[in-house]
Amino acid sequence: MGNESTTWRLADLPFFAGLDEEFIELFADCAHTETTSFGHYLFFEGEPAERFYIIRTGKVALQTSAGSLGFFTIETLGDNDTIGWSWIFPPYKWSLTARSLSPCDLIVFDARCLRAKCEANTDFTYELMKRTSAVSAERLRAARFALLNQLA
Amino acid sequence: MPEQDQLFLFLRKNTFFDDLSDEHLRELLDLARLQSIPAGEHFMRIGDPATYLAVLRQGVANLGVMSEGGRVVVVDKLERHAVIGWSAIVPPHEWSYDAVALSELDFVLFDAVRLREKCEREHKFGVQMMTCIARTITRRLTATRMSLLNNAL
Repeated sequence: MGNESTTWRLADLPFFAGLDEEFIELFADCAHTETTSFGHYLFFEGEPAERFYIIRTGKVALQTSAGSLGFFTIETLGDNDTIGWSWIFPPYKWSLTARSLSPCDLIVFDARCLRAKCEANTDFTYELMKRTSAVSAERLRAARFALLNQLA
Repeated sequence: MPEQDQLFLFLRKNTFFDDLSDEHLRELLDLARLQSIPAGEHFMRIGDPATYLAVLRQGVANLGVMSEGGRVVVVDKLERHAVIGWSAIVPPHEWSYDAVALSELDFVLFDAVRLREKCEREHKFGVQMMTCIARTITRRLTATRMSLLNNAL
C-alpha cells in the first residue's frame, strides 16, 4: 500500500487517532487489504504470529480449542477492532484462533515489516506499544467483567 | 531515601520489571516514594483517576469489584511483590478495579503524572515500561480467558 489514499484511510481509524503522519506512513508501508468470506480462519492457535489485523467491516470470533468439545468463542470483534498482539513478544505464536463470522474487509499488517520498523525507530515503537497496551487493557477489562458476570 | 539500594534489589527481583534495564530501573527509582495504607481502607475505586503505579512491600489486599452492598467480588489477592496500577500508564488512566487493604500495606509508589511524562519524554524508557505492562496484561488476559473457558465448560 503506502499510497496517499491508504494513508488517509489509516488515519481515520481509531487505532491511529492522534498519530503523526510520519508514523502512519510507516504502518502503511507494512499494510495491505484483504477480504474474506464467512467462516474463514484468519489464523490458528499455536501457529507463528506474523500478522496484525484491523477489521474495517465485519465480525471475527476469537476462539480456543476445548478438546473434543470443539471450539469455544472467547470474544467477538467488529468494525475498527484490532486483532492480535502475539507478534510483539517472543515466542511470536497465536494464543487463540480467529474465524470470520461474516464477510470481512481487513487491513493486514506484516509483523516482520513492523518489527523491522520498530528496531530502526524507538519513537515508532513507543507509539505502537502505547496503542497496543491500551487495546489489550480494554480486552482484559472486558474479559474480567465477563468472568464476574459468569460468577454472579 | 536511605534504602535506595535495598529498594533497587527489591524491584530488580520482581519479574514485572524484567524488561527494564538496570539503568532505567534506577531512573524509575528516582520517582519512588514510600507509602503506608491502614488496614480496611478502600484505596482504589473503579473509574477514579489512576494516580500511581505501586509495588506492594508488605501486607495483603483484595483486588476486585465492589458490589452495591459494599461486598467486593475478588478478582485477585495482592501480596508482597504484587504490582498494581498499570492504568496509571495505559489510557484512559482510570482504575479498573476496587482495592481494599486487608492489613496495613507498605507500598513503593510511583506518581502517575511524573511516570507518564518520563515515558513521553524518553521513549527508550517508555518502550521498556510499556513492554513490562503489556506482558503483564497479556499474561492476566490469558489467565482470565482460561477461567472463562473453564467455567463455561
